[in-house]
Amino acid sequence: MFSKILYPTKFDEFSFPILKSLTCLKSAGLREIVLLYVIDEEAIYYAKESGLPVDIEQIKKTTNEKMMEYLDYLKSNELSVKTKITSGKVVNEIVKEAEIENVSLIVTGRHKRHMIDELFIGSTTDGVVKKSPLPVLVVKYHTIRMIEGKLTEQFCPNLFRKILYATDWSEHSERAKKYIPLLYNAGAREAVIVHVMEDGSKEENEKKLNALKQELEKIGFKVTSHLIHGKPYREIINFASQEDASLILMGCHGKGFIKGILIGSVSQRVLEYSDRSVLIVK
Amino acid sequence: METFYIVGMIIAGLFFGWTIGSHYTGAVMGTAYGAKIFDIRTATLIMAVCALLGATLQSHEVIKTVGAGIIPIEYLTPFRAMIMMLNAALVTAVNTWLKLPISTAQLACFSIVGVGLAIDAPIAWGKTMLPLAITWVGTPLVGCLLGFIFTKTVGAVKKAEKIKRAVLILACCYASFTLGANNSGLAVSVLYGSGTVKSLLLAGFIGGVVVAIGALTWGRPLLEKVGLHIVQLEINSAIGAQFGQATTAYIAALLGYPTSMNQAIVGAIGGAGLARGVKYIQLKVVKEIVINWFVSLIVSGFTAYFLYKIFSWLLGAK
Repeated sequence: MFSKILYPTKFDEFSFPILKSLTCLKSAGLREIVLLYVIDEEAIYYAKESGLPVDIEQIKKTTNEKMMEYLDYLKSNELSVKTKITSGKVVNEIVKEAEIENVSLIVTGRHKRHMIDELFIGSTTDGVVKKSPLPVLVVKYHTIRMIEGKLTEQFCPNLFRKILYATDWSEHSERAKKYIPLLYNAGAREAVIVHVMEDGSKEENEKKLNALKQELEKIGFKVTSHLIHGKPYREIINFASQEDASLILMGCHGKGFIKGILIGSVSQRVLEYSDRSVLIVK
Repeated sequence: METFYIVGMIIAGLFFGWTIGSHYTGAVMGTAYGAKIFDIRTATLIMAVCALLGATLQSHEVIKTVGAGIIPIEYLTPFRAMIMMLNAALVTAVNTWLKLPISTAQLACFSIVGVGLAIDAPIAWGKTMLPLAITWVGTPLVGCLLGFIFTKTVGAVKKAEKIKRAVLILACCYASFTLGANNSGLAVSVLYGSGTVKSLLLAGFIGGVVVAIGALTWGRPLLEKVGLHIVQLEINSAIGAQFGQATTAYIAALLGYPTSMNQAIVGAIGGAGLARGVKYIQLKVVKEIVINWFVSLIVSGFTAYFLYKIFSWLLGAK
């Protein structure tokens, strides 16, 4: 499930640290990383429209140089690497390349951005999560910023340090659950299971939680389980902060088109508003 | 009903001003952002302040030319002024959506000409439109010349990188100030011409505020999207080009003629390239400018003409 990863990058400040943190997925089966840079056609258009000089060949050259640094690092960690530069609409290109390369996971980083910027531009990550059928691991930049200053190798145990698995017992959640043993292999040792109750009886939910708890303990996790009342997305976000989880794992209901636009799914909201990294499984 | 038209005119004008701010963020801040001098927030904030100052203090001549110099002010009823601004706003929105290049100066002026033709108003072809046409053709040429001279000068001065970066910041502030002086008046010119806003200082200030908001809201993410290594320009060319652009448009503003900041920077970067022996600007871009002149003129003139005819028939207003 982690054997081949697509990592689209814009060479932002935290792009390289995130990539470094991914090497610990090796013990969870990671073999190959596809590095992708998309020359954003809208950005090119705007730069040209603003009268600024744009030299595509030069951009490709600079990109290649930057990718070499990433490439060397990954190769020294015995991972296969493929680099790709394409151009077009960023979200579409990422989704397309993920399909062409037949990867099993897309990893992206996400800034905490200004609301106004979201309104006018939207985020690439949100677009990818909405459009791609693949699981997406979204690494939140400021989670890393908190531990910045320490050794970069620290990213590794930190990203998978404490997993919060939010389940609503649906098939989507079940699919997400399959990733838990792999995360154990990647270094995760603590797990928090959360179910936000909207319906069903308390006893029934507690029974399910207990069974799940035992299942994870068998793998080797230190587990706590919690049954909470309230609005799912808000409770999950609050609980992740309260428990200081490093990663939220959850399934994603592909809501209908209209409903998806109007209210968004729980996972979309968690992705948007939580300051924790999120692994969304469809 | 008149109040309705006045409100419509103000809203459309403000929207148009807002698009001016976002439209030209790259042209006045792109070089400094590309040289990694500013982060995005600082860049757009400085731009907003400088543009507001430029608009308040030095946009008066442009406001007078566009608001009162193309058709006589007695022809400028609130309804007609509303149509002009509505047209400018709509054409900008559609062109942005279709990703067609536009020049806001030509768009605003020909929105007025279009309505002027529809109402049989005498248009100041010789007195105003001819100098405007000369300004528009001259903008990239003068920009090129000044860009060449400034880049040569800056290149000859051997100063530390740190000082040159400070000079580039200054150049971008000057360009932002010029944007305010030269372009923000377009959004408020008919407010002044129709007598809704009587003070030039106040009109300039209003124009400056919306341009500043445009830069801070839509301009900022657009510039951010351009990213750091899409625009690659060495510092001497960046300084020379930005000063060349700003000076060209500033002279035009003092004379009272609005022009395109984008076309000024294309010329100036071309000039900088000539000075450094680098080909920054492709011939294709020059062709696009020429096409742009005609598209902006003809499209906005036509749509303004018909928009007036349609609305005047629908609402029975004049």
